Amino acid sequence: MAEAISAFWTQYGDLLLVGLRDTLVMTFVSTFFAYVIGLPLGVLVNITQPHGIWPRKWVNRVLGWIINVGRSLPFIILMIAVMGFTKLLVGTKIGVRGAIPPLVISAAPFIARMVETSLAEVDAGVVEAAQSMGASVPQIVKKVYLPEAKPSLILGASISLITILGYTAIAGAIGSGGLGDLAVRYGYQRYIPSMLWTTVILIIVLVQIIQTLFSWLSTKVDKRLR
Amino acid sequence: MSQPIIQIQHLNKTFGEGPTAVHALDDINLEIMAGEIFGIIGLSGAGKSTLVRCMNLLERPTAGTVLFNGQDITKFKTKELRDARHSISMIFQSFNLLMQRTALDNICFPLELIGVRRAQAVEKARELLKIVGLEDKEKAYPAQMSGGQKQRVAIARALATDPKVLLCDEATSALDPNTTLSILALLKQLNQDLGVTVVVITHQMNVIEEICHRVAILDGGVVAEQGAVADIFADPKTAIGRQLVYPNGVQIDKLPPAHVIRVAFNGGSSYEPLIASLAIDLGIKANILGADTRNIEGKAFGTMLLGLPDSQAEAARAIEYIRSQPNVTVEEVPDHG
Repeated sequence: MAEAISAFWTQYGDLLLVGLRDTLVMTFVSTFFAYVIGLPLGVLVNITQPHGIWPRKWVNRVLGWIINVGRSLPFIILMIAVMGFTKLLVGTKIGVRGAIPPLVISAAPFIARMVETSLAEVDAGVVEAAQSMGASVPQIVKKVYLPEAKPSLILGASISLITILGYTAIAGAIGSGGLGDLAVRYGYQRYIPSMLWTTVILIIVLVQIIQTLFSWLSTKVDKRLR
Repeated sequence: MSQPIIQIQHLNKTFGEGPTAVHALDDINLEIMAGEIFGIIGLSGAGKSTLVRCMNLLERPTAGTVLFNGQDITKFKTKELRDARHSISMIFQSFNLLMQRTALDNICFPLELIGVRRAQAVEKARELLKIVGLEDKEKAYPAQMSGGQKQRVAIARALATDPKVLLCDEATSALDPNTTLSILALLKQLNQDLGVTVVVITHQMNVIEEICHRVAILDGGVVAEQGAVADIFADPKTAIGRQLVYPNGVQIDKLPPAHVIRVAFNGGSSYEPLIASLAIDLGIKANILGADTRNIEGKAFGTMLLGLPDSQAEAARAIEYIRSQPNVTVEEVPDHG
């Protein structure tokens, strides 16, 4: 048994390590940029609604519509649809670099909704209190909404990361690299079950680590729980 | 004589439009004097929370003016209004503290908003924690504090910007009776020590009698009556006034069929001599159906429901006799008999 594992590792170890690294890079870099777009978008959608702190009916409708369109497209279709744009932006349609733009475009609207929901959980009374003290709209966002929603935003980030991790596996099917790519090429096309299951187990372990870490962090920062 | 600090003139507030519109406030006129504790009382749905929210424009009135220090704040631009709100603080029934901040940082919050340096803000916050009696709770989070402690932090937070007015929206309604009294004592002390004008919104008459100088009774979006607390207690003129002053009052239709009168003692007289002298002087036996005394600003105010004999003549004589006594007012309870 030990011999078999050793032989497997000699043959595929480097491949798996590169795949793992690519998956991690795609997941974290894409999530980061998706938040750069999705966080402000989610905040805007929340504050511009009719009873928000900055009601703007049409801004709200247009943003809501964009987010819904973005979320309606299946990732694999979106990835192909934006290939021209990807090539323009990062110079290639494939590999880790080529996967990041479609991952960001696909995840940002999803993240915007997550952020919107997290902010909606903030007690309206606390927001009203801040308004009664003469807080401006940016001050309320920065000093009330985001800090008060922090535990929920952190939990949301774990869901976003895990979702994007799933997307990277799909991206692997059209040549992006990473564990998904290994699973398709070695596990499916060449039918090497050990490779298939190893990649699956690695992804499961990653998901567990992300979820545990972020749940712990969310509890740790939440001052309501003491 | 003090100046009015908040003047509300012909204030109207309507929610919604057309046939489903709700008229929450209808032609409200009020003057709140600098340095007083003014109470606004009413039953649920009377419009009192809407009224207090019109005083700092958390709620925009549909019509009418709200003057703060003589200036119409409904005409203010966003920036001017935000500045004015530093002078009109508010506390709430549910405290509304930032749950992710310590007591100290909650009090620093309004100071951060106006750009006070951190060290200075902390110093001010510590001072205020001392005033509200929580100097040892500096690092505590709201979740670790009791309701009364949370409201004390909220009061300290409201005072951080040295406001002229403190609006209290049902500030004691979520607290137990003892905590309510301690919070009311704190408000009274702050009113005396700092001279801050306090506006108290409540549905509890004991809150009014405990700390207010003047009171307005709100009913169905209109001011039913207003005046000095002592006067309203001694002699409520309206049905809603009587209902609030005597919440557990005798239900008139359950009384025996006789003439029923309400007698009010304005400051200090006791019941027995009147009842006794009524019997001795006129030979009329009055039946005490209910009585209540309250202590308002150190003076005793009492009211009593008396049942008089069936005979029209005897009842009239008794009423006339009581009316001739000093410091006593009398009225027939009309919806009876």
